[in-house]
This record gives sequence, C-alpha cells and structure tokens, in this order.
Amino acid sequence: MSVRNLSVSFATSIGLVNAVKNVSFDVKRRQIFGLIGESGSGKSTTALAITRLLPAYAVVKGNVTFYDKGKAIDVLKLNNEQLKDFRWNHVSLVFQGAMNSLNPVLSVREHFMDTAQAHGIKDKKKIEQMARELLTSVRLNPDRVLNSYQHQLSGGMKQRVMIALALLLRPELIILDEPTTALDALTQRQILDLVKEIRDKYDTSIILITHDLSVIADTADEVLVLYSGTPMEKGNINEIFYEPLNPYTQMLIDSFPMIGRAVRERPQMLKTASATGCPYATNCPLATQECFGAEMNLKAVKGSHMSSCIHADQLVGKVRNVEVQGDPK
Amino acid sequence: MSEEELIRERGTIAAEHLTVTFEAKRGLFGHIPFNAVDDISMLIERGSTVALVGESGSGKTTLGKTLIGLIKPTSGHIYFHGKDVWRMTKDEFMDFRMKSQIIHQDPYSSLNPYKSVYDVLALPLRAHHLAGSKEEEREAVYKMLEEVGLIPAEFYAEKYPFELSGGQRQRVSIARAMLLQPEFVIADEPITMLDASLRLGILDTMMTLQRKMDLSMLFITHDLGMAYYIAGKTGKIAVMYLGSVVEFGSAERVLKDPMHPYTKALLSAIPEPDPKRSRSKQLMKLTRMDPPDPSRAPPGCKFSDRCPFAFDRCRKERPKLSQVGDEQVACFLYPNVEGTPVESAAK
Repeated sequence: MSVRNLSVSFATSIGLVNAVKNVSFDVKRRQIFGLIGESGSGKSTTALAITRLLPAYAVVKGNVTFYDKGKAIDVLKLNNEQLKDFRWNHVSLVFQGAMNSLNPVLSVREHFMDTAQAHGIKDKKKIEQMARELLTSVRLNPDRVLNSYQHQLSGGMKQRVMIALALLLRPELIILDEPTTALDALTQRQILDLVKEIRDKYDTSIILITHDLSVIADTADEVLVLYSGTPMEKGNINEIFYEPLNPYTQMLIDSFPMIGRAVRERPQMLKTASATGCPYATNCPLATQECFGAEMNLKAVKGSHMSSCIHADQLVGKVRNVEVQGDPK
Repeated sequence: MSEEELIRERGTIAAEHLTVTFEAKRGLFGHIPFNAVDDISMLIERGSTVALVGESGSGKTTLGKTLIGLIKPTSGHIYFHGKDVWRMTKDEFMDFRMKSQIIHQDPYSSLNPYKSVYDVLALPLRAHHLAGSKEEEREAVYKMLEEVGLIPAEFYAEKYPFELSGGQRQRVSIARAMLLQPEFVIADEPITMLDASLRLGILDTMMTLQRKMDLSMLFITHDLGMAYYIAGKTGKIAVMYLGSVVEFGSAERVLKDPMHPYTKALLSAIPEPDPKRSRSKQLMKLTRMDPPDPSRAPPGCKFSDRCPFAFDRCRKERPKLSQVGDEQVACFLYPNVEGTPVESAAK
C-alpha cells in the first residue's frame, strides 16, 4: 500500500481542523509498519482514512493506492460495492478496544459465519473449518471458543478472536489499532508474538498503531512518528531508535522509563504545540525563528531515513545507544 | 515496648495481616468469598517510597484504599504512627484521614466539573478548618498551585476542569492531595492516562513535593519501567499477585535480579523501548499464560498453577513472605521460606 500526501480535515464550528497533514508512507509486503504518536496525533484518523471509514464531513485529500498482485487500486475513488470487496478481502482493521468490538448477543461462531457470508462464502462447513484453523493459529481452543459469547472470554482471548476474524478472508494488510493497550504484561507479550507469527505465516503486511514506544521497539520494521497530525520522522526501526533525526522523537525516547536506565534531561513541563510550522517548535531545544514557519514535509536526510525537522542535518551521526547500568560490557 | 510496637512506631503506616474479603458472584444466586487483599503485612517508613506493582485484578487499588481507611479491612490492622486506625476516636480518625491522601488514576472523573479549580482546592481546607481567614485560604491555594507548576496561579484558579488538559487536571489532583499537608500519599496510577511526554513532568513534580514535605508514598502502577523510575535508588518495590505480596525489596534488586518466578516472568515479557534489547529477550514460559480469575486462586501457592517450577509443596502449603538475603519473597524455591498448610477440606 502506498499513501501519498494524505491530509484529513474536519469541518467544525470553529472552521476546518486539520487532523492529518501531508502524510506519506509505503507499507511493503510482509512488513510491520509502526505508526506512533500521542493522543491527538492523528494516528487513528490516518488508519480510518486509508480504509475509508471516516464520516462524510471529513475532507480527505491525497492518494491511497493499494497494489493487488500488481494491479493498482485507487482506494479513495472506490464506490460502495468496490469498498465492500476491498475491506476484509484486502484490508482488515482491528479497532482500538477490540475487547468491546464483539457483538454480545452473537457467539464467536456466528461472527465468523456473518463475516464470511457477507463476502460471498456460502459453504458453512468450509467456514467452520477455516474458523477452526485460524483460532488454532492464534492459540485458542476452537471447541471452547466457537460457542462462547464475548463475556465468557478474557481480554486477551477477545483480542485474539478479533485477530483471527480479521484474517478470515486472508487480507494482504491488517491494521491493528492499539492492540495491546489495557492488556496485562503477559497477555501483551502473547499478542505481540502473535502479530509477528501472523506476518511470517500468512505473508501479511501489518500497520501497527500505538502510543507505546516499547511495543514499536519490539515489533515494528519501519516507523512513522506523528505529532499533532504532522509527520515528524520516518525510518527503519534502528534508525529511529539509535539515530533519531527529529528532536521530538529524541524526547519521546528519552522520556520513556526503562528498567536500569537513568532518565536523560527533559523539559519540566511541555508547552502546547505550535499552531504554525513545526508543532514541536515551542518545546524544541534546536528551535529557531524559521521553525515556526517551516513547511513540515518528510525529506530524505540520510539514505531512506526521512525527517521533517529543518535542523535534521545537525543530528546526523549522533548515534545514541541506550546505556543500561549493570549490563555486562 | 515490644518489637512489634517498635516497628509500628517506625512507620508512618504499618499494615499487619491485612485481609479484605469480597464476594464473587457465581450463577444467579451463588456467592463465593475471595480475598482481594490476602494477609498482607507492610511497613512504609517515613519519607520513603514504595512502588506497588501488579496486574489488573491483583488487588493493588484495594490495598491502597484500605491503607488510607477508605475500605474497612475484614481482618488485620493498620497502624498510623503506632495507633490502630480502626480503634481511633472520631477526632483521631479525622486527623488520620487528613494526613493520608490519595491521587486517583483518572484526572477526567476525579474532579467535580461544576467547581472551579479554586473551589476544588479550598473545600478540603474548609472541611478540615485549616484556614483561619479567606486571605489565608487564598494564599495556601495559590502557593500550592505554583508548587505543582500551574503558573500563574490566579489564572488557573478561575478555570473549570473542562478547560484544562489531562496533565493540568492531574496537577490539580496532586495539589488537592498535598494541600492538607499529608504525611502519607497514595498515588493510584496517576500517569497512566496521560501522554508519554507529560508523564515524567508530573512524576517529577510529585517527587519534588515528596522530598520537600518528607512524605511517605505508595505508588501504584502496572508498569515496571515506571516503578523503577519512581522507586529510584532508595525506594522499595512490592510485587502483588492475586491479593498477596510475593516479593518485596529494593527497586534495584527486585527489577534487576528478581527472585519470585512471577516477577521473573513479568520482566521477561515486557517489551522495552530499545529494539535490540527487546528482541533479544527470552520469554519465561509459564504453564498457562492467560491471566487467572482472582476468585479461583489455587490452594497452596497462588501461582502454582502457572509456575513452571512448581513442585508438590507448592500445592500443599501457602508460602509466607519471608526474609531471604536483603529482600523478602514468598516462594518455596528459596530456603527458610515458611508456609502454612492448606486445609484441603476448607478450600
């Protein structure tokens, strides 16, 4: 999937609000693409925009192209009938709080039946067999789970049911929005391992949306950092964590507590994001007057590593390793 | 004075064999009792920090609320400066409630939306008759607003909660708790609902105030990295599992060199904000990864049904939190850990 210059704005009583500004990225086959940002950064809106799930009053600009075996699909131009085919068959989305996305009066079996039948698979035996296979692959016991209703399952089990359901029509891309928020540590580990397994087993591409830096560090191959709807930095996982080219990313990494690491210096209290230019300019140690008027586009700074910071060249080569006290040298 | 009394005197708060029993519903009419807090003894020394970690349903919040007298324990005692909280006179109890405060998890629901920041802060002062005059009250409120970083105080005092961001609201909550000059503060996941970039600022504000006021703090969290940051060099960490404390010791020891299999499993499972490190971790496999039902804990050691090291004794006796080296652990893998036999018929 390729996203070019995606912008989303909402018409509100105070005028147009830009929720996503000029975001571009590609998700390659078998890639886990991480979208990270704080609340209000536009990460969920981006996901909704590329699956065309935004309400009608949202103004979406840009290009979203999906490549189905070499055939390009222009997602933003699909009609309703084509959209139905596009969703689930090519792309499926597991929402934030998936624990609450199951219908309480339908059993897990009925969820699988409904979804499959809505997309033209009529053979019940075949659906049952597919459902069993998928549930087993997410390490659930089909005999127990298929007849269960959502209240009989734990949070982690529901999350796994949702992932199995998302896999039903073998989409090429799955979007997971905050898949482990509100799960216990051990359950979170299971889900993260499962995400990697699915990628390997079904050759699926995955967009992983989260605010949790450690989840990204653990799972993603490539990362896009968003702040206040603005793309800040994009690169592969090691580039982002060990040689961040945007002071905002540096701050995010530094303010994430980690066992054994002394926390680096940070601003005491963050000011509100700047309304013009770079949103981080009000808090940034490198900020100059130009930052407030800067155009925030991702530009290649070092190889494929892109940043929208106008002072990014100052950061090139400053490799930062995480030092943990008590580690064997 | 007996040794026990001495220990009670040393701590701001001391809990002895604290148990809180709730009833779980079974079917339409059935109820079975289970202990949300199960025989916990804990001492929080003056000016010290204890980070209480555990997963959802482990009883962290119940323990916290019990320690400041919001929940009456089913059995056991809480001592505040050596005095049994539930045997205090009315005046003594009021004083205890004033000196032990709580900061709640959700800054969006813990402030009254109809009251301005000024009123939110002034009400507790009035309730405890702490301000002699309007001027004194105003001065105290403004001073505290400045302490928590809401400057200019006059500006923020006039605001209503809906006009503030999550971080600012949590600062108001902190100000409210600190305004009564407490000696003991419980912070129940105060930063969980905030953005990453705001979290450390809020924590730093709390920790600065703690040092200034020589506070004892119990910090409840499910995030081990956060617990490490909060407890720091001098603080302690208590790990809770299904109502029991399974490990207690200095943050450095518990999180770098854990003893209890449950702590080890947790540490092996959490992702870390460092790709190389996070991906090279070896997960400690449990016999069952799914979280347990708190009302159906196995007899004997509560972790015995998930623990890969469990042996016969673990199912027959419940281990007591016992001193092993510098820390305390409740696990029979270590020598000198005592246990109480399970009356198999009763459970």
